[in-house]
Amino acid sequence: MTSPSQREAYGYLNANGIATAVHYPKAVYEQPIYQKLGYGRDGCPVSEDVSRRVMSLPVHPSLSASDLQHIAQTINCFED
Amino acid sequence: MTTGEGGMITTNDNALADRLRLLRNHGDTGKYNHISIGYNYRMTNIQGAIGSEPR
Repeated sequence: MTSPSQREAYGYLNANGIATAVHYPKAVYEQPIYQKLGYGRDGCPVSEDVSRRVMSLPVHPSLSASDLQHIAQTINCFED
Repeated sequence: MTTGEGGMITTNDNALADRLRLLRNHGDTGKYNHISIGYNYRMTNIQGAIGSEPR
């Protein structure tokens, strides 16, 4: 979780009982091993930008319709 | 020990154990921090069941 906006969203969702995480925090070439091997000199600006802004939401077969409603509504309120 | 595909390694060498943990999980030290090349050697539950069966 690298950016303030991700941390803020994480705190807000957790406070509302919604589990979240950042599973793709870096562009692939930003991983230490690929930096060491010399990749990423040109960079992928879109990948880097998006990786600072993505988050995973709960998606699994045990979610009820009201769970989904709660998740959607909570997220819509955050944007406001 | 083999479990049909892969298996188990035991060691009392901490440095070796650390390297093996990296090798089995794409060089990830945890939290998406990949410091070396590695592989997907994480065992499935079926393989684990094979490995846990007493001989």
